[in-house]
Amino acid sequence: MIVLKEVRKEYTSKKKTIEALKDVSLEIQEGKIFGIIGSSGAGKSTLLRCINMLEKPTKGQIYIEGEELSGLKMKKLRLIRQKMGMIFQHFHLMNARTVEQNIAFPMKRKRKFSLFNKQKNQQETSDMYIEKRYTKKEIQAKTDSLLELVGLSDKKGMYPSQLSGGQKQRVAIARALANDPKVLLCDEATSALDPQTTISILKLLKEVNQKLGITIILITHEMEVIKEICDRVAIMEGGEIVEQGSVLEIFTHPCKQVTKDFLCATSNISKIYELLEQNSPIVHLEPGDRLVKLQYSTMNTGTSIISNISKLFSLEVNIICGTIEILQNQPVGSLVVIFKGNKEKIEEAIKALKESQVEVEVMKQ
Amino acid sequence: MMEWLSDVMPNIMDKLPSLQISFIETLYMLAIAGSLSVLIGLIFGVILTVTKKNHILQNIVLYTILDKILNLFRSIPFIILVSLLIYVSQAIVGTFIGPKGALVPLVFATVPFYARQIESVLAEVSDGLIEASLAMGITPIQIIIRVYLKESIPGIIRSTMTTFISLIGLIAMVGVVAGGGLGDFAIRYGFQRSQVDVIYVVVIIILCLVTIIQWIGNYFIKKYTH
Ligand SMILES: Nc1ncnc2c1ncn2[C@@H]1O[C@H](COP(=O)(O)OP(=O)(O)OP(=O)(O)O)[C@@H](O)[C@H]1O
Ligand SMILES: [Mg+2]
Repeated sequence: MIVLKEVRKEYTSKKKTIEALKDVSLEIQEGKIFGIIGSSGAGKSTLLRCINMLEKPTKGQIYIEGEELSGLKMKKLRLIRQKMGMIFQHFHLMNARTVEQNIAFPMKRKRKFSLFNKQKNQQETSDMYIEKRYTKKEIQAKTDSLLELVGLSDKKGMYPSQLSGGQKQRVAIARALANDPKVLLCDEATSALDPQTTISILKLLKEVNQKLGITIILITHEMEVIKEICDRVAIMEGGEIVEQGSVLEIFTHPCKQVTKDFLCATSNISKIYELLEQNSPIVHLEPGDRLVKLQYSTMNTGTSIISNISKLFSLEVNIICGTIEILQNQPVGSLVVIFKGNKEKIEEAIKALKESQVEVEVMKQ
Repeated sequence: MMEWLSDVMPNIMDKLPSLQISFIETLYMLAIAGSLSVLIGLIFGVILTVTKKNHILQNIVLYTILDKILNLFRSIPFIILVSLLIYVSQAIVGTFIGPKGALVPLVFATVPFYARQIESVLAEVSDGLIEASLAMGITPIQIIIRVYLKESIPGIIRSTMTTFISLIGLIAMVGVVAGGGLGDFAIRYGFQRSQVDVIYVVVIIILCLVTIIQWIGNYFIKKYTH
């Protein structure tokens, strides 16, 4: 488990002090995929870099499996970092090395002759501090299995300059997994990739999470990414986590405006706002009509809601647009509809919908 | 053949043994001063890179001192540097004349030149890659060797090539002051006695030397560029 306690990060330059993180507290369960979303400058990268101490927090504590990081000596910190893989938007592979050599790179360490070091390692209570030393054969075997995992066995002799973006990210993932990390930190890992490649990389990350049980912390500015693989999500704004919860919760019951904005940006429901703005005939209402957005999950499926309402309150219900998405194996639907009919009946219908746990938002009346 | 050569180049033919000595002296200075400068310059270049602000072994004091010293030696014209360093030469190699005495000013002039080039070559290694290496838990020494230097091999070879070529120029100059080498030879006979053919031959030899260095350099650059 990863715990952040009131982590604050300030950058001081000349006279100004920038608060990149304002007392962020966070708990991330082992084996989960935790997403952090926020717009540019929200402090996502800073937060991620604090987790492996690439950035020293100004204040606050970070615990990885109960070990507090900020007090650690460089040497122990390096060992902890070996247990945390990291991947980046721009891959950061070594151009002078082949795919295979890039993956083997983190495993190749100078061998220590000293007995003293070994004894010291054995005394460590936490296995986080044991630096594994590999033989040549072990490195080769590990590299081959990682190549297989990321599906690049046939490209092992190539140089990064000969690979596509998606392939480079696969190499970076394999490299990040070389030291059998417990955590994988992903800083905008898919932001430089096209949508299809993004999906394939996300699938790979999911596989890594499920097969190897690695906790993944992933930052992004795209809700699509969160939707695709995350279990939980935190929304960041101005150096703070403004909202967090399971992906399902956040998608169905967003509280903060930023969250709603991020959600809007992904669903095609958001187009309705444009239509409203343009006063398009599609959303033209007769007096008394209401344009309503419905959001529902799990038990109550869309069609029955509509037909029930229509029958029960003798309303005419026009569906303008709608989507159904699968989040964590649960269907989540959004519908934009126009209710036509008796004004009181419409009110009653809305009330009934709310009672059956459908989110109702009146967009225009 | 020999007759024809004696016809077109009357002055050079009777100085062949002396030309040979000068050539060997030039090679000697090139090899010793060149390799020393590359070694020291590489170390200084690396130190400049890693001690800079926000780099892996940030050390502003060390950086500033080294930076200032290198600038100082770079800004002194070479001929003046040669005279400035006579006592230093005397102390280090026991003489300040001849090919041996020339080594000290050559190294002092070349190290800053080379260190700056290495600094700019290493600066091209992306910060992101260094950060990725730090995130892997690799020691600074390993980052220097296995990331900075390894990633920059083509650039390092290119700067080494440029440095050796410019060193040939310095060697010709130092010869005039301290004595020895092809420069000295060309000035002594070609310039002072107006034996133009001597100059032509020296020019051709130096051209060949430069070309060979470029060939070797380019071969390795090509080999290590991926
Ligand atoms: N080294 C630094 N020095 C000074 N300020 C910094 C530094 N790094 C980040 N900041 C500031 O901290 C804030 C958060 O930056 P951060 O990189 O964490 O944002 P982000 O959410 O990752 O944005 P993006 O999506 O653009 O990557 C920004 O206002 C940025 O200007
Ligand atoms: Mg960022």
